[in-house]
Amino acid sequence: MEKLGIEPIQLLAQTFNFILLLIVLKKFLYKPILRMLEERQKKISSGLEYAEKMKVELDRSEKKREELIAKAKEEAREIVVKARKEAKQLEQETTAQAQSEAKNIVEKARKDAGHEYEAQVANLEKETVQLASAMVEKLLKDALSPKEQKDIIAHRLKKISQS
Amino acid sequence: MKDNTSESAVVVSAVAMDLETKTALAKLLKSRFAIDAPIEYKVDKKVLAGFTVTYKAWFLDASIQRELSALKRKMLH
Repeated sequence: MEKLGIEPIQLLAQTFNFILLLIVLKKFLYKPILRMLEERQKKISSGLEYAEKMKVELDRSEKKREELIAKAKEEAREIVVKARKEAKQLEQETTAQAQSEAKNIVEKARKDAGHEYEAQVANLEKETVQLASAMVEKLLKDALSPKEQKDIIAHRLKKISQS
Repeated sequence: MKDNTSESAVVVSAVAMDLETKTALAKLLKSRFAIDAPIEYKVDKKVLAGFTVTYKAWFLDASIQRELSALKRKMLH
């Protein structure tokens, strides 16, 4: 060994120093680093687990949201259908009522016109008869001569005696 | 007709009746209606062709007016 330039004592001391260094490094550096790495690994695992959990939760929320949206859309569609149906029914009822009222008004007007016409005709007939009667009276009074008056009296006497 | 001499019968015509007509009328009233009472003759232009006789509550309308009124009523109803 001496021929190789290696001194045993020095080699022994260096070996001792190296082992000592290893022990010191292991105790004060390697172990804390390992512990730190383990803690970091745990944190990462926990984070990943949390992320996975959140992803599941997010998917569930998204699904629930989509279901709610679908349900809301369906309800909105039903409301629109119902509103259209009610509007149509209301329109039909309003139209029917308006037609009925219009028909009643026309019938009443027709009836009133008929009554008015009949009343006017009756009044006209009455006035015509009264006018004709007055004209006949006037004509008879003015047109009959005394001789004709006497003839009528004689005729009446004869008629009564024969009846 | 009872007590038919206490009141006179009133005959109204548009023109004055001659004696012949008056006699025929008096005879008719007596035979047909049992009126044997004095007859009072009056002229009224309102009587329309013919004559009327009033005796107490009895009334005879032998004018055209009666027929005309009847016709008028018939036409109005």
